[in-house]
Formats: sequence, structure tokens, C-alpha cells
Amino acid sequence: MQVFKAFLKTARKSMPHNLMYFFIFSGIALALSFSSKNPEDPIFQSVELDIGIIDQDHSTASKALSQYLNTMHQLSLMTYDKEAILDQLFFRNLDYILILPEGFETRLLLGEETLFETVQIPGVYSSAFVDEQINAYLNTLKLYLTADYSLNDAINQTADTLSQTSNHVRVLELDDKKSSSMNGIYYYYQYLPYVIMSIILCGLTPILTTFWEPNLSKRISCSSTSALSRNLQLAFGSIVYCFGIWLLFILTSCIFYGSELFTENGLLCIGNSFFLLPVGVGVSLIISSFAPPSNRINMYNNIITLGMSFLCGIFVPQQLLGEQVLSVSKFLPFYWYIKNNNLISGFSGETFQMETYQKNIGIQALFIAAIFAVALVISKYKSERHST
Amino acid sequence: MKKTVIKIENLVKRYKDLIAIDHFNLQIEEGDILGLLGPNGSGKTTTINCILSLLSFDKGSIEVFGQTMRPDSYDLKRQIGIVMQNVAVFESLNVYENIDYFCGLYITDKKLRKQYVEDAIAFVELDSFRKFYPKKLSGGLLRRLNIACGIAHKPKLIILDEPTVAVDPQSRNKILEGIVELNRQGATIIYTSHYMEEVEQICTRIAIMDCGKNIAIGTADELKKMIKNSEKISIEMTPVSEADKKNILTLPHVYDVSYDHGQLLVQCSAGRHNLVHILGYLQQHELSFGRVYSELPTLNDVFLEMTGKELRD
Repeated sequence: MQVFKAFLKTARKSMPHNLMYFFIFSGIALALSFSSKNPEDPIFQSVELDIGIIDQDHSTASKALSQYLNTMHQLSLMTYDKEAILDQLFFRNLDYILILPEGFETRLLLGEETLFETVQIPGVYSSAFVDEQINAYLNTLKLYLTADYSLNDAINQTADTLSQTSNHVRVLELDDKKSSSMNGIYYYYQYLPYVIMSIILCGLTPILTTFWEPNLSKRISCSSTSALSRNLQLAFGSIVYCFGIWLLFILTSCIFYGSELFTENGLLCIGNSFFLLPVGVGVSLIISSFAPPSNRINMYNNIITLGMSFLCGIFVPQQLLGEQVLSVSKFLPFYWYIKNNNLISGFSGETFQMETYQKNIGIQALFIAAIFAVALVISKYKSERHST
Repeated sequence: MKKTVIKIENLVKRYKDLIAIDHFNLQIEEGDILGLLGPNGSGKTTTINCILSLLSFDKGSIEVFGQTMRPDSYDLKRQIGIVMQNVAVFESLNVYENIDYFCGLYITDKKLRKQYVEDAIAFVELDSFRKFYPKKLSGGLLRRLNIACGIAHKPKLIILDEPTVAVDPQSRNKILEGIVELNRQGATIIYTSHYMEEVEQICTRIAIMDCGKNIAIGTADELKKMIKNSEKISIEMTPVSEADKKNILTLPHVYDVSYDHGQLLVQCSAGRHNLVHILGYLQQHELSFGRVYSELPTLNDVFLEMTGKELRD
């Protein structure tokens, strides 16, 4: 195990350097995961408007509508005075004026379409929002009336229905303890490929490059330790090293997200992330087989990790990437990793299916096999070239 | 009868149109310090690489300790130590760890290895530098570490490929003394160099290579006897007439006379009293002269006479 021991000693020497990378990258990943929101979530902010109501009907239906609007907006009852109405709108004392004319309830019961009038400030989008709310209320009320509910029952049912819808929205907004924690996990695992790949390439590539430096490699080749044994020991060292890095990141996510990580979705994220290791080792093998100088290793690392991260949807959501970019990124393993992460989180709008998850894992495995095949071909080609 | 350690027969190695080794033959006996002497590009390192199976060859055979050498001849490799031309050590390991690492590639027994590593450190006199990293070592110390890494496992055959390149004279002497000591301890040594003085100083036999060919082999004296020139006499004096030159040429054993840059250069073949005859002639003809030098032939002269070019061309 001489090669393995030397591998670990070399790795130990670069430990402070790698730990610095770990803290920087994990800090970035955590910061992003805590600060980010789902980029596909519509940014919604309910607006409380000042609405003036001119109720000329004074019926049960008109009062119910006023009451409904009062739950969401500031209402002020007005009398019909054309000049006063225009002044209120001009000076922006009111955003919207609703006129419920006489016979409003009667026409509602008859199922007529035009039931009310409005006076609005031209070009103000919030007015359309109030229109929508009034229409939603009246349509729901009409539905109950059509279903032979009495007016009072229909009003009650409508209030209940709309409040349930409203409550449902509030559930999503207010029960954020669970969802934000889960979102944090997804974001953490979304950025993990970049972080893990960077650390593996920055840490492992220089170690492997040391062993394949031509003079050292030549001297080692003269020894009585077989090439198979040497390569196996190097492979074992690489696995231990990368597994250690992966474990460190999983432990970090355990510390920050606690038991949430051990839900089905959390475990699926962990499982998905495990496939990043062989990708990192494979790419590291390919780079190191060219035995580049250390400054060039960093250059290659940056090109590969940043390139893959941008193309595959780590920094920019896949849904926002162009068709052509996506058609290229499909030939990169990170694309399938992110696809799986989106599938688990539901960010892509796709319903989670285990078959799809497994299929994406399978594609990643094929990429890994391809990367290792390329690494072996390069290594074989180089050793043949050196021995002829 | 001495055992044959290495037997190379008709070795041919080509790089496309370039013939690096051309029907090379060599036999090295146990206990030899064989100097492989030749100018840069003469095929010394290529030959070494073929012996170690680091390079494949086109024709011929190589036997080490009576067995054909192959890339997977690990039993044979266990008995060989190699000291590369370029220092090949781990920057991330200190002196002790480096020697231990390379020794460990041959010796699996921990206790024995520890002893061997200590012996190697003592041998190259790096005891006070055992915790030093290669970056902190001077060129000479680094070369000594390079040697320690190659010989720590106590091999029977040690191949040193130009181990004294870019080394200060003091370190060079230490290295050369070390090589002789290793030989005294029983190791057979192949020493490649283009420094003829070193080769002449330590090698029991010398093979001269040029253009991939073994052009001569023998002890230093045997090689020198192979050539016509056995004494070169230089005399500082005023210009000599053509008639005098012709007369000197008629003296016994003199085969070439020339005058250049205020020096009369007389080349003599093997024979006694060459200097006496020449000085006698000069006195007799009242030709005044200054300092007189008499040089015996060097390996460079051997190489020059055999190939028509200098060793260090």
C-alpha cells in the first residue's frame, strides 16, 4: 500500500488548501441556498386598494359584495356625485369606484351579465385586479344560485368558498417553515455539482498529476510493484479522497437542514449527488493524464466547472436556458443531475416519478462510464507512446 | 567465473527513420562498473530505457541475470536500482518519506525497509536533512537524495544515468566515491556519462557509444592502446620552418607535426623516449623553446580518432 500511503501523504499536504476551498465553496452554496427563492415562482404581492362604493341598491347582495371587498381593501361608502368622484380619482384619494346601481340584486337573480359600473384611473393595473375579484365573487355567487341555493345560502357559500381559496393561498405563504427548509436543501444540492467538482478538481488533479509526472512515473515503472497494483492503489486513494469530500458536504447539509434531509426527497437528493463523485474523479483523471503545470490545472478546472455549471442549469435554471444551449448541455452529466434535482423539488413543474429519476441516474452512469473510457484510452495511448 | 548480469545482442531501436540504437551488443559481468560513454544523443539513455523495459525495441534481445527482460518482470526489477538523469522525487514528501516510498516499492517488510532507509540516508550523508522537503535542498543534496531513492532497496544492479549533471565538484566527488563504495559492497554498476574524466576515474570497463553503436569496449588502458596516438607533445616556441617540421616527422614514433598559435604539436605513437628525441633535435638545431607539455591520450582522443569528432561536440 506504498502508493496509497504516498497518495494520502500528498493529499494531507494539500489539506489546508482544500479546506480553504471547502469553506469558501460550502459558504457560497449555503448562502445561495438560504437567500434564493424559486426563480420560477411568480412574484406576487397582494395590494390593498382604496375603493369607493356607491351602493344605490342597498340589497342583501350588494351589501354582501361590499363586505367581501372590505376583507381585502379599504372601502369608503359614497353617494353619487360625478364631480366628487372625479376629484377623488384625480387626487388619488381613491383607486377605484364601484357603482352598484338600483336593481343590482334583481338583475343578479335573473342571471344578467351587466350588473355594475366602475370608474377607474386609466392605465392602472391594480384596477383590473379588483375587476377580477368582483367577477370571481359574482361568478361564484351565480353558480350557487344556479344550483338552486337561496340568495342568503348562496352568499354564505360564496364567502366560504372564496375564503377557503384565500386560506389555501395563505397556507402556502405562511407555512414557510417547512417549505423554505426543503427549498434550502434543493438549492444546496443544486449548487453542489459546482462546489464538489471544483474541490475535486482543485484537490485531486494536482495529486494525480504528481504521480504521473514523467520522471516520477518512469522511476515508479521501474519498480517491482506491478502497474495493476499501483493503479488500484491510486484508484483507491482517489475514491477515499472524493468520498471524504462528498461526506463532508453531506454532513454540512445535515448540520444545516437537520431531519428534513432524511425525508424521502432529501435522501433522493443525497443519492443523486453521489453520482457527482465518479464524474469528478473521471474528469480529474483525464486532466491529470496530461500532467499539466499547476497554474494550468486551475485554468482547466475553472473552464470545466464554470462551463458545465452555466450550460447545465446550475447558475441559471434550465427552464430559462435556450433550446440550443439545452441541446448541448444534454451531452453533459450535470444536466441530468439538475434535471433530477428539479424533478425532486418540483421546480420544473414535472410530477416526480421514480422511473424518471432512475432514468436520469442511469444516463449519469453512462456518462461516467464514457468519461472513464476516455481516461483509459488517453492513459493507454500515452503509455504506448512513451514505450515506443 | 563471473556471472553475466546483462547481455544485449543486436539491439535495434528506431524512431521512424532515425536509428537510435544500431545493432548494439554489450555484456556486463558481475562486479563491473561499466561506463557507457558517448556524446549527447549517442543512444545511452535509450539503451538504459530498453534494458529497463521502459521502451520497446525493434530487434535484438536483452537478458538481465540470465532472464529475458519484460515490462512485467517484477522479480528482475526487484534486483535493479535506477538513478535517473533528472531528479525524480515527490515534492510533497520529505527526504525520509521519499526514500521510504521508493524503497517500499521493492521491500514490503516494514522492519527491513526501515533499516534499508536508514542505511541509504547514512550512505548519502543526508542524516541532518531527513525532515527537509526537496524544495529546501541544494542541487547537490537533491542529487544525493535522487541516488538514495534509487539504491535504498540494496539492488544487485544499479543503473546511474548521468547522475552528476549540474552538480558542484564537491558533491560530484561524493557521488563518485559513493558509486565505488556501492560496487565494493557487491553491486554491479552501469554508469552513463559524457564526462570522460568521471568514467575514467571510476569505471572498470568502458563502452564507447556513437550514433547508437558500440564502437569500442574495454578498460581505459585497453581503449587507449587501440588508437595510434599514445603521446601528444606540445612545445611553446617561435614559428618553425617547414624543413624543421619535416625533420621532426622523421624522428622515431612521430607521425604528425603541426604548428599553431605559438605551439609546436607533435603526435607520437607508442614508443619510448619520444620527448627526449624531440628536445634533442631542438637543441641540436639551436631552436629556442619555452614550456613543454607531454600528454598521454584521453578517452576523448580515443573517441576523436575513432569517430573523427570530439566527445563533447
